[in-house]
Amino acid sequence: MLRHRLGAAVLAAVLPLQPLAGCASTTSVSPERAEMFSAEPVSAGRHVLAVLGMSCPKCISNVDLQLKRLPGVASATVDMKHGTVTVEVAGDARPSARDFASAVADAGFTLSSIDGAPAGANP
Amino acid sequence: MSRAALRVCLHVSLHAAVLAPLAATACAFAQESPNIASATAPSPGVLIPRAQARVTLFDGGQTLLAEDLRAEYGIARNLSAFAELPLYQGFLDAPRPSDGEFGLGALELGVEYRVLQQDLDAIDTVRGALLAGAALPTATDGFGRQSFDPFVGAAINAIFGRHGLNAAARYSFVTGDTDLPLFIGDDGEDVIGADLGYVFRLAPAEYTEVREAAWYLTLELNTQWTAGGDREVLLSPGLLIEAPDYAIEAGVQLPLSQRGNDRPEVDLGFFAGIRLIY
Repeated sequence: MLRHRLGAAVLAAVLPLQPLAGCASTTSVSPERAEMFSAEPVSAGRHVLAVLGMSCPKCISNVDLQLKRLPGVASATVDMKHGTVTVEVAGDARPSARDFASAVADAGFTLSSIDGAPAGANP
Repeated sequence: MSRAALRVCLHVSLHAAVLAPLAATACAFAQESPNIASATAPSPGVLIPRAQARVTLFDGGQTLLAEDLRAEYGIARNLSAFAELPLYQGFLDAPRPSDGEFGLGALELGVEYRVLQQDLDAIDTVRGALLAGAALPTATDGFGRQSFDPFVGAAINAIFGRHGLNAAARYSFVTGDTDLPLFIGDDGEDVIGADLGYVFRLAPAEYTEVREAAWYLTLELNTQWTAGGDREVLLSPGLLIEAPDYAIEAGVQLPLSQRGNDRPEVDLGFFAGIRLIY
């Protein structure tokens, strides 16, 4: 009997997470967020990505890793003070803003804007 | 040098020897309380090996050395798998392993699914995850029970500026026991674990444009108990250093309250670990 009570206590502790999970579906966890950015290739040169949630020096290695995997990304430099990643794009194969958003989401963070243009804006 | 100190030195040396080749080529993944399940997960296709050395001093001068080997792998954006295998060396009272015998602990396999991610600004974030898995009957004689024990749990991490909070809970359905109980749950009773952690960034107070190492003070309350009245409450202060190319953690575990059903009680514990990313 006590064992069942313990199990019920754990379930009671876990179940309140479900509403939170619902909240998450409208934010960065959802791939739809990335699709709010343009699928057009960005221009060559420097682009500044505003990224949310970069809370520690090593966690942001994930951002470097994922962005540098994109074709055309020559470098990615993280600035934790301002919460930005400066990306240098070069060559013929250039990523889109949506690619950037997807890579940032894969890294576990949220892309809020590119060159000052937020998700949903037409650059 | 006492025998206990010599054992610790040997163990730390072994730990360093195992990790040095990895540290030379890898970078670390951190910002988690050292002994608490975390809601952070590797990116898809990314592998995070982790090793943590632990020295536990039990009553009567008994010593257990452990090397916890853990690997996490990102399956999808919010889904990861993990495996953890403890390696033990026992200097315990007979008939438990008493002469430095090596052995395996229970191999744990599981998955973690992130159900919550709220990135609030450049640094602040809240993450939540559910996890499930099972401990397999891989423990060798004297190093725990040999049973198939499923578990479920949840973890939450929140970072607000220099302050980080971790919380995790886990329920293990214990299906077997052992004649030589060493760990909580070895008497065959289901185990509940609940952990709270606080991580304070000592330095830098504010991040700069240049990547730099961050130093964190960590404080955890690690609790486990069973329906049979077995319990263990540990206070675990520690230090986490997170540099661009490595992250290390170290600390002590102090028993606040415990009651063991025929198992030795913890006098003091030490841990030191490193987390890597590939």
